Amino acid sequence: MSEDFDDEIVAEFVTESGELLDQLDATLVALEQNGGDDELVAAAFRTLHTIKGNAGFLGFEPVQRLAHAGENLLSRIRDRVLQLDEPRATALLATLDQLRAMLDEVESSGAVQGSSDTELVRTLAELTSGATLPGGSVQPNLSGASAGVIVDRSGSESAAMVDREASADAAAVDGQALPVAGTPDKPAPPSGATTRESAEAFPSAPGARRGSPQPPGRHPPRSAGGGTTALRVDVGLLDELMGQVGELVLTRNEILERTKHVSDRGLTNTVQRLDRVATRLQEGVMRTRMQPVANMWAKFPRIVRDLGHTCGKKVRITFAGEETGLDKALIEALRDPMTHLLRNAVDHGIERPDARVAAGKSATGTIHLSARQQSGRVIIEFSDDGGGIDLDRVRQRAVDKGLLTSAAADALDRQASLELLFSPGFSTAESVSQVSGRGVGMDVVKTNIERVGGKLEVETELGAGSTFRISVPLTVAIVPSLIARVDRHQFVVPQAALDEIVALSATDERCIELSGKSVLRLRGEVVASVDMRTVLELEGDPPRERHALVLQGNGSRYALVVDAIEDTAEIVIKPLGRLLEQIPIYAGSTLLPNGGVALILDPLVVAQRHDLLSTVAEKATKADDTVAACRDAFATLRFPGAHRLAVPLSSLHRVEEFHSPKIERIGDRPVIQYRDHIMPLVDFDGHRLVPAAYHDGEEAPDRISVAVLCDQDRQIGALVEDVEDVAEVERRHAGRFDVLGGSVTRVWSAQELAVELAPYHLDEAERSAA
Amino acid sequence: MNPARSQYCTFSVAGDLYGVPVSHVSEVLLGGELTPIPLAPPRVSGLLNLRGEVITAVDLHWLLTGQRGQSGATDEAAHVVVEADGERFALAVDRVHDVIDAKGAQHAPPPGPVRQKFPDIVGELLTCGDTLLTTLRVEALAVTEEIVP
Repeated sequence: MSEDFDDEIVAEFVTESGELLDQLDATLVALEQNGGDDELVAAAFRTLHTIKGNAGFLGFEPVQRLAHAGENLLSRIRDRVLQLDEPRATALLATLDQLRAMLDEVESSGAVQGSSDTELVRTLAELTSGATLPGGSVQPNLSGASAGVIVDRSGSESAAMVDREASADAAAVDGQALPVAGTPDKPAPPSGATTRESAEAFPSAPGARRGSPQPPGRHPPRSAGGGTTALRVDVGLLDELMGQVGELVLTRNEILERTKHVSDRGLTNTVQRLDRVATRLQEGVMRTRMQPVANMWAKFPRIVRDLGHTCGKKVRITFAGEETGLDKALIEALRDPMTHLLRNAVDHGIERPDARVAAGKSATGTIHLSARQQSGRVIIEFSDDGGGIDLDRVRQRAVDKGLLTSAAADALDRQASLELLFSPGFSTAESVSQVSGRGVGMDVVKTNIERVGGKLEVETELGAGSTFRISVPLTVAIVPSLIARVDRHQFVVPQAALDEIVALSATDERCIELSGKSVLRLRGEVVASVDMRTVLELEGDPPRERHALVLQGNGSRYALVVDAIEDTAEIVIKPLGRLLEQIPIYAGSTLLPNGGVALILDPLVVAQRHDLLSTVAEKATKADDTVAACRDAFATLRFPGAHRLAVPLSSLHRVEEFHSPKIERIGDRPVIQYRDHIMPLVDFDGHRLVPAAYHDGEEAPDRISVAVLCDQDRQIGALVEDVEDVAEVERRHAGRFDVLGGSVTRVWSAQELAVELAPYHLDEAERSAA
Repeated sequence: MNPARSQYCTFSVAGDLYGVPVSHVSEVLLGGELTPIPLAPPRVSGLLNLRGEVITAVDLHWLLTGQRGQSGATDEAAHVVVEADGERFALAVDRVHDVIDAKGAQHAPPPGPVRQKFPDIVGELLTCGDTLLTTLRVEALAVTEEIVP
């Protein structure tokens, strides 16, 4: 692993140095043409100095030596002892070329051979000491030398490449080729310091290449045609492109919508082609914005090393899945939260070496970072093998801080206790250290992750370590959303925060007033709610049937009541103009498939401003309530033949409708394809589950409703007529019937359901055979 | 006077003639479907879809008379799309008239009441032959601080 990281640092060095050299090219050419500008000479000197320093640090001695020789010459020019005349400029540019050749060598082989640069170094030394050389004789010698260097070691193919390079660089000497890096409309920053910043602001070229679908190997760095295989492109341009592609996709959606019922075959074909091209284009542009998470992690080993020293701990960091691609904007958004988690892991997670040894662990703690892509999301896990989180201490801390009473703290279950970590102003560090524990942090970490549609979960085991799991969408450029209507206004709500939608009747018993606040009672849970008509200060009477959007944010569940749910849509966020950006509850605007404009709601801001988010103490009691209630929340499924079955709500994944279902068989068991999986279908005969009664050749009805039941990540489909109700049930005996909603209902606990479902699981062989 | 600024796109709002320098005008949109915005500052009449760009529409009626304009009240109602400080806005007007060359026009401060009410948005009163024209300062139309009439 650490070897990979060395590679990463080397790759960064090569990229950064390449950029610096490109700038130096331009600087030297400008200097030569316009005469001695002190600023420029000093900048050039510093740039070469930076390369020298980095090369020295990484042990590329020939690079260091050559850069040093060039730097010596530049320092004499800077001190006005020498003039930057043509031979000196030529020699310096040749130095840059040679450095480039060396960097290429570093990139392809990971090392650079020594002693090859002596001739150029000698030339530079002579020029530095003031000896004049005939101008014409320098260049041929030099380019000959630079090509020859490569031929000796890498064979003729490389030599040919270098020759091309040399000629390309000769063009640069003529001042015709300009550096590609940097924003096209801004001049390259002159000083070494700014250069470093700009190098960080852009995706590093090797990284970007690794993020492409077929990661090319480390060889060759140049394509056969002699051009570079990777281009550095201004991120602003990519953002602009992404925005335009988003528009194109929306336009495509609109056209698809409008031509749905058109019978013109030619038009239909054209639209389908447009559809395909737009989809591919969108995927392509999204890929250009993908960066490997390794870019975000590259600095972590250094942070761990320095922090470990500060805290007197031995820590190593390991990585897996560094090549996993993630949208650039997300990489940026996650960088700070990840760094914070890393600091926490070293400071609070990993124990001191003596404590570790006493606990029978290796003295060196390990932090393991892994990333993987899973069903449209990227999961990043952050584990340490440290002391774990002491939940008793967490609760005690919360009580000490006055966040909740000790009685409330005692009532907290495991999950709710862990949630305390994310409360504002919470920190478990015994003493405030310079590393972390300033009491700002975990809540901000969580909020920042949620802001980009992500989720953060913690698992911990006392004495064994903790795992933080971050899950984020692949991209933030196109946002899956829900379109809701309030009065005559359409609003867009991002789906990421949406937990569920509850239909409300005019006199819904679940809507109650509790000490002056509207709340919604959902399966025993109390959810603070607000009417969007109130939020938007709209007058007029709401319709009788309404909907509550139950959302999640900052560890709370809250509900926004809207008039209607209109549709779902994928949207591109457009900024609001300066007259409207002051209204905090709007996150932007977007165009709907019908061409209309809709505002994007920021539900979290609505919740904050209308006091819907739970305080820590409320969360504590609520969590307690919820646990008690959830234990008894059952969903009643109605089967053909008036059989009714209540199953724990937690086992009911969802209810799906299949139109013209294609029911297939494995052996004698009916199955249906569901989300790329094979799902067995069962029926209920009043006592137990039986295979759904479809016989070969029998036609399935046009439409079937299937309750998807879950057990150990397997899904079993139950052919239901309806899902009637969600109710709380007092359970007295296992396996008995109960009266629910006035009808006799068989009620199964999770355990009973698992026993019943077990025979229907497809085994590995059957799944692969299918 | 700068010759580029001597041409004005003129329009009427509540029976009076106003103008903005043509250099600020990017286009004139007849009609235009407005999306109203709850909680918006009063001068905002809504959002417009201008060929895929979402732009804010400013209610000149409200700014100049203190009364809400009736968007789309007549067939002649239009939006003058102007650019100020790098952002485009649509000015909701009753009717768009000609471009007037104000070279050689007489310049005067606008009438007192108007000037007092809107010290920022009103430029000057131009007299070009028979035509009386009040110029508007585009930069001042799109600021958030509201003047309560």
